Amino acid sequence: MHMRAYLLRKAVGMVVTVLLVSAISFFVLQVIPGDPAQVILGTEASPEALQDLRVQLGLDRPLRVRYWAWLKGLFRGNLGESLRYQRPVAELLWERLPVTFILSFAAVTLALTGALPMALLAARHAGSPLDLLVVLASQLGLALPPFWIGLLLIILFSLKLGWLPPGGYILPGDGAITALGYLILPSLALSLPLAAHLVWLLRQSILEVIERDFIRTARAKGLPENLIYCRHALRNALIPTMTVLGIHMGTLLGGSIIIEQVFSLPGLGRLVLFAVYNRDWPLLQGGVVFMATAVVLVNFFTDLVYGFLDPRISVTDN
Amino acid sequence: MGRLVRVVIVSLAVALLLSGVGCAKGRLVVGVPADVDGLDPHRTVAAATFQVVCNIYDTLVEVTPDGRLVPGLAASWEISPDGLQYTFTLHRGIKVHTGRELRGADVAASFRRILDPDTNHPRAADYRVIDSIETPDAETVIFHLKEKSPAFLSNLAMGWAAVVPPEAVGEAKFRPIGTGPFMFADWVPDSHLILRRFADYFRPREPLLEDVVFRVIPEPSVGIINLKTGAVDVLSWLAPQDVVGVKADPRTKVVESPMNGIYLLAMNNARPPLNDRRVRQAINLAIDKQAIVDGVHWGQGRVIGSHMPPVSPFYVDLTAMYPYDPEKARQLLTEAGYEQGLELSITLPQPYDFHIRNGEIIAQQLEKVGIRVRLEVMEWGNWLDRVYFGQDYQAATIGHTGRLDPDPFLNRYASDSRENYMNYQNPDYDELVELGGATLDMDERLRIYRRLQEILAEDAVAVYLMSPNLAVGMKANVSGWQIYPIDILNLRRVYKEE
Repeated sequence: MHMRAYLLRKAVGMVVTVLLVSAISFFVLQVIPGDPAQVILGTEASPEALQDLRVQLGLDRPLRVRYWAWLKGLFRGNLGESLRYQRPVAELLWERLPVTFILSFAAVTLALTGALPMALLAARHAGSPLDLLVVLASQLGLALPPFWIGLLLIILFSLKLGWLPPGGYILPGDGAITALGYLILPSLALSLPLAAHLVWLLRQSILEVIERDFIRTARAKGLPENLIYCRHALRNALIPTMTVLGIHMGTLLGGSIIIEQVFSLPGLGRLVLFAVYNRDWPLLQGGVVFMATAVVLVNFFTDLVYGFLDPRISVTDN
Repeated sequence: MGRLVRVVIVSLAVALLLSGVGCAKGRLVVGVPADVDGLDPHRTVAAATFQVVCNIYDTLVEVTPDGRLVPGLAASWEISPDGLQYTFTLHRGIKVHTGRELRGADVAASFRRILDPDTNHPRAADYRVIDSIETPDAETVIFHLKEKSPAFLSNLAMGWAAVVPPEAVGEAKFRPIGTGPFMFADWVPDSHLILRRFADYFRPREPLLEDVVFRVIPEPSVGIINLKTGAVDVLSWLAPQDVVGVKADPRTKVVESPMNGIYLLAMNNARPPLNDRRVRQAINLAIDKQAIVDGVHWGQGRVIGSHMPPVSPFYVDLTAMYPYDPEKARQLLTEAGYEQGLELSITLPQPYDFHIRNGEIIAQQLEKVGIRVRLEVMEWGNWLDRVYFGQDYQAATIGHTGRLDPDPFLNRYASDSRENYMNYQNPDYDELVELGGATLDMDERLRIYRRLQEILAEDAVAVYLMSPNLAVGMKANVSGWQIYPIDILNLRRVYKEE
C-alpha cells in the first residue's frame, strides 16, 4: 500500500516537473528576440513572404493559444510539427534517439568499468604512489574539456594510427561492427570526464566508509581486508556515487551537444541546439519534455537503487 | 588484308574507348559544414540546400564558372525585340527520374508553383514579372513578361528556379524527383545524404560518378582530419587558415576561386552620428582593409571599394577612393564636430566567426582615430531581428552573396526598397536604379551599374571591406571540380582517378 502511494506521489511529482519545465522553456523562447520566419527566410525575405510564412507556421496566434494548443496535443501524445523540418516532432526525436541512447549507455558503462577498480585500488592503497597517480589522473580527467579530449582521440586513433573513423555515423542496421567503430571514440571522449568524477568521488566515499563502526566490526570478525573493501565498503560508498551517476545519466540522455558536434553525430543535442537557433519552438518543446522526462525517470530509478544498495533506506519513507 | 586488320583494330579501339567513357565509377564523399534544411528548392533560402539539390534538379538556363549563361534544360532561347517574350526550346529526350519524358507543360507548372502564394517561395518576387506562360508544344515554353526585365534570364539560372516536376511536389522536401544527373537515395538529417547516378540523364556520358555522399562535418578541424585520413574525398569549404596546410600535403590539393560575394561594415545612414557623410567617410579612411584580409582571412580575399565583387563583369575598382589614412579621418571627424571623438556600437552576428573578427579588428583601428567602439556579439536570429529587419543598430558586420545580375544586388539601396536596412536615401540613386532595371542594352547597363557603385562609394554608405576567396579541399585523385559564381556544388563532371 505504502509502495503504491509512494509511486503515485512520485508520478504526480514527475508530471508536474515536466509541465513546469515545458512552460518555462516555452515562455523563455518567446521572450528572447528573433522570429522563426525571419530565421528561415534570412536576409532575402520580403515582408509579404515573412507574413505569409508567419501565418503558415501559426505564429500569428496569441501566445496562450499556442501554448494551450501545444499542451492539449501533448496529452494526446502529439508533440506537434517542427517549424524548420515540417515533420512531426516525435518522429524527429525518435530518429535521433538511437545515437544518443547508445552513446549514453556506452559512456556510462565504460566510465563505471574503469572507475570502480581504480577507485578501489586507490582507496585500498591510500597515500601510496599508486593512489597519487589515480588522484592525479582523475583531476586531469576533470579538468580537460570533453571536446578537446575528443579532438586528441581523433588525432591519435584516426589520423596517426588509422584504427577508427574520425567521426560520422551509420545506422547499426547497415553493419553492426562498422557502426560500433563509429561510436567508440565519442563514447570514450564522453566517458573520460565521467570516469574521472566517479573515481574521485568513489575513492573519497570508500575512505570515509572505511572508518565506520561496521567496518571495524567486520575487521574484528577477522574478514580479509580485500573482502571488506569489495563487499562492505564499496557497497556503502556506492550510494553517493549513484546520485552523481544518475545526474550524469539524465544529462547524457539529453544528448551531448559538444561531442555530437566534434564527431558529427546526429544526436538529440544538436537537434535541440538547432531548434534554439532556428526558434523552432515545437521542436525545442518536444526536446525539453523528452529531456525532463529522462532526468526525472533516471532520478526515480536512482531512488529505487538506493533501497537495494542500503536496505535501511526505504523508498516508502518520507 | 592489311586494311582489314587496320579496320578491326580501329573499331576495337573505338569500342573500347566508348565503353570506357560511358562507364561511371566510384563513390565521392563530400564533407559539408552544414546540412540541407529540406530538399525543395522552392521553399528554402539555405545555401547548403542549393549546393546539394542542383545535382537533383535542373534549371532552364545554367551558368558557367566564368559567369556566362548557357543552355540548361533549354537547348536554345529567343528574346523578342521588345524584350517581353522569352521562347525556350527544351532539349529532346529529357527524362524525369521516374522514367517519363519532361514536357514544356511541366516547366510551366513549376514556374506557376513558384508564383503560387501557397508555395511561399522566398524569392517569388524575382519572378513576378512573368505575366503568363504558354506551352504550344511539348518542347516549347514561352514566357510573356509584364515589363522589360534584364535580370530575367539570369534569374532562371538560380537554384531556386529549378524545374520541379509535378510528381515531386507532394514530397519535394524529403523525396525529391527531378531531371538532374543524380537521383535522391537517402537522407539522415545532420549526418549524411546520398545521391545515386541517374543513368538516363539527358546529357550523354554524364555524370561520371556512381554515387555521391554528402557528410555533415560541422567542425572545420575535424573536417581536415577527415580529408587527411581519406574519410572524405572533398571538403566543400576550407577555413582560410587551413588552405596552406592542405596545399602542402601531397595527398591533397586545393581548388580556389574568388567568391561572388562581399563582406562589409553596414552603417545605419539614418542614425546620428552616421547620418553625417563626413563621419562615414572618416570611418572608411580609418579602416585598413588589407589588414583585415591578412589578419582575419589569411590573405584569402581581395579588398573592394563598393558593393560589388571583382568577379562581376560590372565591377569597377574604387579601392583608391578611401586609402588607409587615419590623419585625414581625424580631420574629417573634426570638421564634422567630433574633435573629441565619438562612440560607436557595432553589432556582430554569432556564430559567424569571421564577421566577429572583422569587427574586432575594425574596433581596434577606429580607436586610433578617437572612435570608441562598443562591440556587441548577437546570436543570428536576434541579429536578423534587430539589425536587418528592425534597423535598430548603428553599425554591423555582415556579408552579401552576389547575384548573376547586378540589379538584384544593387537595388537594395533604393529609398523604398524593403531590403534597404542601411536606410540610404538618394533620389539620384533611385532614378538610376530604376533606369538600370528597364535597360536591356549591355553597354548602357554597364555604365549605369558602374555609376551606382561610384555613388555608393562617394556617399560612403558602408565600409565595403573585401570579397573573399572560396577554397575547396580535395584528395589529389579528384578531378573536374569547378567553382561557380552561384553557390552550387555541381558534380556532373567530377570524377576520381583510381
